[in-house]
This record gives sequence, structure tokens and C-alpha cells, in this order.
Amino acid sequence: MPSPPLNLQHEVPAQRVERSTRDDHPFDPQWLELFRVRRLRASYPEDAQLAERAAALEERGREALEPVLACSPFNRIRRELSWEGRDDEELRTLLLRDARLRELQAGEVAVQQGDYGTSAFIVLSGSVEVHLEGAGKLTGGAAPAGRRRGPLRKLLDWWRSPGDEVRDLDPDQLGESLPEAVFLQDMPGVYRPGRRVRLGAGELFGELSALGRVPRSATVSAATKGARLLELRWQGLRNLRAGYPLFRRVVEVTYRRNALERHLLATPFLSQVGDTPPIRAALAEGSARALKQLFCDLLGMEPVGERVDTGELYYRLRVLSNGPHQGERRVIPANQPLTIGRSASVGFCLAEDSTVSREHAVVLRRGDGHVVRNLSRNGLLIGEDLLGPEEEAPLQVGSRLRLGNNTELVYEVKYTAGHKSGQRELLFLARSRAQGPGEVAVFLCPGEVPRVVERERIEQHVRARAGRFVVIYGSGHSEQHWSWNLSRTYASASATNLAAATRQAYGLPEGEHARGSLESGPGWHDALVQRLLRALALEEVSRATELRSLGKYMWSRPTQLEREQGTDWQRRSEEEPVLVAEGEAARGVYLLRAGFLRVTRAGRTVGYLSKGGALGLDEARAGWRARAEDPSAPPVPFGVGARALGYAELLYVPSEVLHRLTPGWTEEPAPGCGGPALPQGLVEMLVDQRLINGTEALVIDLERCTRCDDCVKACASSHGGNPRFVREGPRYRNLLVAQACMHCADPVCLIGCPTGAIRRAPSGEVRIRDASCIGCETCATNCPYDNILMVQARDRRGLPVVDPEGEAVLRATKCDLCYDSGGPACVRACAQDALARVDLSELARASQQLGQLEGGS
Amino acid sequence: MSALRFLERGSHARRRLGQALIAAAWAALAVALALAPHARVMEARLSGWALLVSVLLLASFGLRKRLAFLRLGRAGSWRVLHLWLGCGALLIFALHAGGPPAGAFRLFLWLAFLGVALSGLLGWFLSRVLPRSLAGLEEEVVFERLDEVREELRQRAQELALAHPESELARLYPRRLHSFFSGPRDTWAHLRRVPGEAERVLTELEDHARRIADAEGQSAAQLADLVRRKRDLDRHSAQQGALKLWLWVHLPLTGVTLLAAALHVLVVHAFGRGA
Repeated sequence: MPSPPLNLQHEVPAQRVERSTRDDHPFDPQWLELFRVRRLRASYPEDAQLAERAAALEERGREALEPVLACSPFNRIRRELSWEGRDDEELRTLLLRDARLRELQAGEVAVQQGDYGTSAFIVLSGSVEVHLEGAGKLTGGAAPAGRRRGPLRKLLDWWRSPGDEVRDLDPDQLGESLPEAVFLQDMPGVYRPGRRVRLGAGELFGELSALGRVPRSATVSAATKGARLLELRWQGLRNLRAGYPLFRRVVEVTYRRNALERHLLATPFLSQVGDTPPIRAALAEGSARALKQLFCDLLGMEPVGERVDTGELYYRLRVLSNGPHQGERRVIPANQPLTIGRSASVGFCLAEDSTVSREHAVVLRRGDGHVVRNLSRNGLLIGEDLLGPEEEAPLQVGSRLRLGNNTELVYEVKYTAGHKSGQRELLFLARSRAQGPGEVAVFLCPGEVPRVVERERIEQHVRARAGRFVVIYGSGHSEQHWSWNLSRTYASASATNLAAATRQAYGLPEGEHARGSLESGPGWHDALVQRLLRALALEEVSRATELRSLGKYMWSRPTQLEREQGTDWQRRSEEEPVLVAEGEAARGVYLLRAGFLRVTRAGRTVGYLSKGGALGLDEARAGWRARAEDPSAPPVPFGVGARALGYAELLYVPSEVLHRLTPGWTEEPAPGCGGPALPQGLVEMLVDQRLINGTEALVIDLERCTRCDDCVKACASSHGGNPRFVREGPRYRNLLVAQACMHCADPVCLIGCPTGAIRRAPSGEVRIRDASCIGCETCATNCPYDNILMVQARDRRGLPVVDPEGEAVLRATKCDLCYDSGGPACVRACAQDALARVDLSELARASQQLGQLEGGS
Repeated sequence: MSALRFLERGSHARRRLGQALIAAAWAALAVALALAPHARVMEARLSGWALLVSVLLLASFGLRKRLAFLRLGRAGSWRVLHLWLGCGALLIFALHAGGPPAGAFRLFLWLAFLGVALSGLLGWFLSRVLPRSLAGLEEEVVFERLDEVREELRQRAQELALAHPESELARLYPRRLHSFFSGPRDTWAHLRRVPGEAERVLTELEDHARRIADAEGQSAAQLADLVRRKRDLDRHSAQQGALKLWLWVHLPLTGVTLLAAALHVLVVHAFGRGA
């Protein structure tokens, strides 16, 4: 389509300017000058005045970044860089360019549920609350206002329509920017208190939405006054992930903690995880022995009987490393601090290690446990975290402290010997994997239900041994009292807090978990056991699940270039990253969580998979059946190959885990498959041209279309005389996909809109809010299908709108599915029923809808 | 509005039910008119008013197309109703007017109505037949862009033919190809879907290709491709033109019929018996 004339002042000669780069547009405008000066310095290295200015600005940048770099995960990234002998200059530049600091007032909303975000946040100080439910949608939300026009208003608009792209000239409207700060307490009618999770310093949130181009799954608000957040735009997030393996791990861990289990449960064949026949049988039998065996089977543990001495417990530090002090131990006094260092006067003297400071660290009592405070300028490593001077970190059993270059200490718990009173046999199931704070251990205590005092002793013992645990008292589960806890809550381990933490962790309703619930009926236990087992099984599946990603995040760019230069589909298909090759042994199932996969057989495209689809399920099932008959049978090979179309995020679940923990996986149909097949040529066209991204693609059946253009006229009459689509486009036999916005599953047009004018409405369609559009063309450039046009705005008199310099004011325009008229007018206007809006993003649905279009009379 | 909603949903079963009801209503009206033991005048008035209402309802389809921004039901459902209503109106017309009437005005009205009905049936026929034919072509071109694409083809053909000035192709172009590429050809043949000039040009080109050198033969093959594209373009031009043209007959005739019918009603009530 021809572009409108952009410059109305033809007599003004063109001004030559340097092409700008991303460095010219830092996320935080305060660093604009810094990057400009850096660029000038590269051109004029001898200029002393410039050098002086650059030094001052660099110093300012360094100072501003210090508190950021001292926080996790950046302190860990810096440490990793120093071990590799690299400086952190690149990291600093990235943060100055792609991050900005935000200080929120208590209750101020950082992200809103349902919004399409392009940035992630790291909590630097204070804390934020994630409202997992109940926060709903607040004002200033994602969708442009969906004002519906009445019939009279529509008639009037149609009558007065001059046939130009008329825009409101109210300067306030034209200049509208990002919505102002939103506070939870401002919306008492909207906000409902619900399930909340608090995130503290060093925690990351919002990364799933920023990287996956999916709506925010929760509302996050500041929990404390002056919570400081680092907001990273998606470009920075992408570069950090690509350039720093540690950051990639942080993102992965965050995903595993926050979203993986929800994703797995939403997958049909995993929804019954944990509901296996052995679990049902054990519950029916109701004995501690059966339950013990069940937990062993479930978690792959070996049952171990241990006699627990419920005598006095104490904590100690032991030297682990092969150095002069190897094997030395020191008990931490009950009510006194223990100082560690080279000096002879400290409690734990490491005189032989010259790299340890004279007073390097001190261990202090805090509540039920201990914390370590760093006293040295050389730093103290606890696990992977580097503590700065006077910084503290809580100690957990098994925590490792590194002092200097040679000494590593471990924090342990022990019991005094000889206390036989109150002794109780405790059966516990040893962990089969490496210890860590996230590990689960299950303890069964047969016999009488112990008294409260003894229970607390036993729990103290158990807590000292495992980060996350379950204790089962009593011989039959109908008489049992359950208690479990999360390691995070140890610092404030009151009974109420433990109960609340457990409820949150396992999604139990209020009142279901309480210490005094021994009197409750047997049904209470059954339900609880079942939920607990499911939760544990789900944890096991999620632990075995691997995260994989393939392809380029900004896949729309090559598509645009190819379209401009002419596309060699064969070459392009060969360049796509391969996920599985045809004939490769299938040992697990791939679940697609973002992007698309091309499915091939003998080199030809036979289908595609979109978000939520699964690959390899049939092969994994066939493999398990074969192994059930013959244990030495080799894995079944993949019947198809798969390549990432642009960009794909995947989960890989080994079939061994599925078989052990998910009874229904062999019967449930594979998501994203099934339904009548489309002709191969059509599939190839949809895949090659990435039309599979469309959820509302306008498809025309040319065998019924009389080319009357009533659809185009209807679109024009609904949009002030300007049609929003062209009756041209890619075609397969009698099906033509018209050039109209497809309201994509992965709307790349949303990326980078500086004012948030283009957004996705709650009902799914992508809309442009005219008042916020500044005509920057970012969305039109990003759209790989050329379905967004820039038009010259005119006022109600038909005069072009120009800026003070005489440049035409442009506005982005595209199909809006006639949201203010009750659905697309083009489809309603076709007398031959030759048009349909088709969801091409799912093969089965596309097949069904195209069948209906072609089958109608 | 509930009737509109009903139409908007437009499932095939419902549409079939609607068609059956309309057909039954028309049949009942026709039987009532034929069997009613009343005066000729009453019969003529009843059928006349029924006819006028039918024509107004039929014409409202055009209004619905113009007011596409309002929610007035799916045009597909309107089209089906239009078709059945039109068939019924033709039946009533036969009862009301019979054969060609005496008098110039009445004859004019009679002919105008028949013209509307026949052009409508022709349109229905064309809309069933021609889209399938067009869908079979390799390229889909919007009617408004036909001239632009045709000119593009002409220029490419001319460049190819004149690339070798002394060749047979260069001699053939002004004699045979220039006129073929310069405008729409074979309109009637394309409407009847029978071979036309394009096939003859292709045969000549193939004959020609056998006698010429390799380099020129390549150009001849490319020219043959362009001829085929031009043939498809001409088919688009002829068939899309026909699909648009019948409406240019149907709509003005509808307007004329409505005006004449209104005048007819006035005259009958002003000067007829019982006025």
C-alpha cells in the first residue's frame, strides 16, 4: 500500500542526521547525556573538555549503580566475572542503558494482572506483594476503553464521515503518556484481599510476561514504604540472559518456583498427577507402613529407621576444606556469639590460614536459628552469595561458609548423647538426591500420638535435618496429626505462621490445617493426605522437568527482510533450529510453552504445534508399552521431526517420571493434536508465512466470494470511510488469507510501543488507543505481516494534522474487530458467507473452522 | 431485535427452517387467493398490496448493505430471505398481473418488474457459477487493480519481445501480441468459458518456439507464461465484470419499479373502482 506523504514542507531541505542506535535511547532518560558523550568521545578522543564531562558522568553512573550491583543477583554475577578475570564494564553499560530505578510507595502497583508488560523487576530493597488472586483488574488497565456506540450514534458518524482518518485534535489527548501511578487502596471496590506472596530483596518478577509476550499473571504492589525496584526492559533482560549464565539460572529458578507447577497442572495428561493406583490403595489401607512405602515409591527414597534422641540439641561449625584446620569443630554457645578469624582471641581461631582476616565473621543467635555477619573487608561467601562488610545472612543446616581462599566451614546440628528419657523411634525416609533447602523429607512417627512438648522436640529434630518436611504421627492415618513446614518460615516459626505458610504452599482453605485438629474426623485426613501426595508428586515431576528454548526472540525481523527481498522457503525452513530429528529416540515429552513448532515428516511440513501443545507423547507411550513387555526394548523413535518457528520455549518431561507419577498419561489425548487434518499444501503455506500466529485471521473462500467488496465497504462504513484491511494476501487454492490484523497469539507489534497505545484487550483482540498513539511506527515496523498501516491524521474539517515543524502527524491503524459494533462488520456483511475469522494458531481448531467455512452453503 | 439475533446466528439448520416457513407462507397465500370466493377487485387489491410489501422488503436488502455498520443480522441470512421472498413475489405477481397488461404504463411496470426478477435470477446464477471459475485461476486480482496489472504485463511482454530486435519474436509482437496485451480480450469467450484468442496466440507461440534459436526460445517460453497470465487476467476482467454488471441492472430497475409501483398504487386508489 502506498505510504502517505510524510513531509508537508517540501521546500525545506532535508537535514542529514546520524542514524541512531539503541544506546541513544536509554531506558532511564537521565543517562541520555552519558551515552551521547560516550559516542562523542569515540569520535573526538583528544577533546579535554569532553573527557572531563565524560569522567563526571561516568562517576555519576558508577555511584548510581553501586547499590544495584551490591544486590543479588548482580553481586553474584560480578563475583563470577571476577573469577573469570573479566571486568564488569559491560554489565554496567547494560544496566545504565536498559534499566531504571523505581521507588514505590506502599500499596503502589508495579504491574497489573492482564497487562502485556515489556519489562521485568528485581526487588532491591523493601518488599512487594504478589496478589495471586483477588486483585482483579484495576483502572488504567491493559485494554483501551471499549466504548460501544449506539445505533443512532453510528448513523450520525456515518452521515458526517468525511472519508478521512479523522482524529481528535485535543492536545491533551494527543500528548497522553503512560498512565499515572495506581494504588491498591484507591480502588476499594475492585480490590479484594486474596492469596498473596511476599517477595523480598533480590527476587525477580514480571520476567515471564516480558519474555513470553503473555499477559501478567498477577498484580504486584509495594508492601513496604519506599520499596526500591530495578525495572529491566525486555531487551536488557534478553541480553542478561544471553550473556550471563548465572542470570539465566536465576530466571529459570524463578520460573520453576512461580510458574512451572501451574503449567504442568494445566496440561491435560498431567492434571491427574499423583492420583496413582498405589496412592489410592495406600489411602484405602490407611496404615503407616503402607504410607511409608508409598512415600518411598513416590520420592524414590530408601526407608531408613533411626532412633531419635530427643535430648538437647546444639549447633556447631566444622572445617570442611583440605587445609591446616581440616576437621576442626566448634560448638556455637547457646547464648553467646561465636567469632571466627585468625586472631588468637576469637572463639574459632583459624590461625594457620593467612587469607582469613583477624576477625572475619561472627555467628549470632536469631530466634530459633543463627545468622552470620561478615566483619571482613574481603567478603564472606555463604553458599553462592557474597556478603559485604557488616552484612548478615541466615544460616541453615548444611550452609557452607567460605573464608579467605582456603577455609570452608559447614553449619551443623547435633544432639547431646546420653539422654534417654522421652526417646522415641522415628522412622524417616532419607533423601535420595543431594541435600538442599528445597528438598522434601517425610518422617513417620509410629505409635502413640506424642504430647505437645514431645511433638515440638521431634519437629525441631526434623527441621534441623530437612528444609521442607512432613511429619506423620500415629500409627493409622485416621488418627494422625499432620504438620509440615517451609524452610522460609523458620525465622518466625510460630504455630500460626507455620499453618499459614502451609496453607499458602499447598493451596489449602482456611481452617484445614491447624495444630489442634486432632479431634477432626477421618475425612479431613484423607483429603489432606491426597493433596499432600499430589503436591509432592507434582514437585517431583517439576524437578525432573527441563527448560529449553530455541530460536531467535525477535523472529519478526528476518521475516520482514525476507518478504522485502523475496523468500526462499526451503532455505528458511532448513535454517530453523531443530528440536528433534525424525527417527531420534523418544525418551520424554516436549511441552510447548511459547512460540510455535513446525512438525515435519520426510522433510515435508505436516503440521504445527502452538503454545500448550505436546510432542512425543505417542512415542513415549509406545516406548513404555514396549518396555513393559520387554525391559530391554529400545526407546521408540520419533515419527516426526520438529523445528522451532522463529522462537520456542519448551519443557521436557522424561517419560520415566510420567510413568511413575501420572496414571492418566497413557490415555489422555496429546494437546494440540487431533481433529481433521488440513491439506499439506495449506499447512505449509500457513507455517512458511507464519500465518499460524493468527487467532482471528480473515479467511475468504474464493469459490463463494463474488468479489462484490461488500466486506471492504462494511469495514469502511464502520471506520469513518476508511477500510482497515485489503482483500489481498497469501492464498492456497480457494482459501485466501486477507491482509487484515490477525490479532496474533504472539503479538510482536506490542513490543516496544513507547506509550502502551497498542495493547491486547481482555477479550483477546489487539487494539490501538488513538489518544495514546504518537505515530512512532514501532508497531507497524514490528508487524511481520504488514497489517498495521500508518495514516495521516486529519481534523474534522479534513485538514491534515501537522506538528509545529510541519511534519505530518501519523497514526497507526488496523482492524479492531469492530469491538464497538458487536463483532467484525466484514463477516456480517458477506451475503455469500464466504468470510470467516479463523483461529489459525491451533491446528485442530483451524481445521474445524476452515471446514465450516468451506462446508456452509 | 430477537429476530435479527436469530438471523445473525445463521446456522444452516435454522436457515433451512426459515426457508421452509417462507415457502409455506407463500404457498398458503397463493392458495387463499386462488380459492377465495370473493370479488376480483378484492383479490387484485390483496395481491397488489402483498406484492408492494414484498418489493419493499426485497429492496430493504440494499439498505442493509449500505448500513453495514449497524447490527442488522448476517447478510447471508438476508440473501436467503431475499431469494425466497423474490420467488414468492414472482408468484404473487403472476396472480396479480397475469399476462402483459393493456396500457403503456401498466406494460412498463410489468416489464420493469420482470426485468428486476430476471436480473435477480441471473445474478443468483452468476454468483453460483463464476466464483468457482475464478477460484480455479492461479492469481487473484482485485477488480480495481486489473488495469494496473495488465499494463505491467504489457510492458514486460514488450521488453521480452523487443530484447532481440531482429528476431522472429520482435516481428511477431506488433503483428499478434501487442493488440492482445493492450486491453481486455475474449470477454464473451471467458463468460462462456470456451477457448478464445489467448489459446490461438499460445498455439502460434509454441509453433514459433520450435523454429527459433535457444536464447529466443527462452524468451518465447516467458512470453507464453505472460500470455497465460493475461488470459487469466482477462477471465478475471470478464467474470468479475459480469458479477458487478448484473447489479447495475438489478438495482436501477428496482428503483424504477418502486417508483412506478408507488405511482400505480396512487392511480388505482385515486381512480379505481371503490376509491
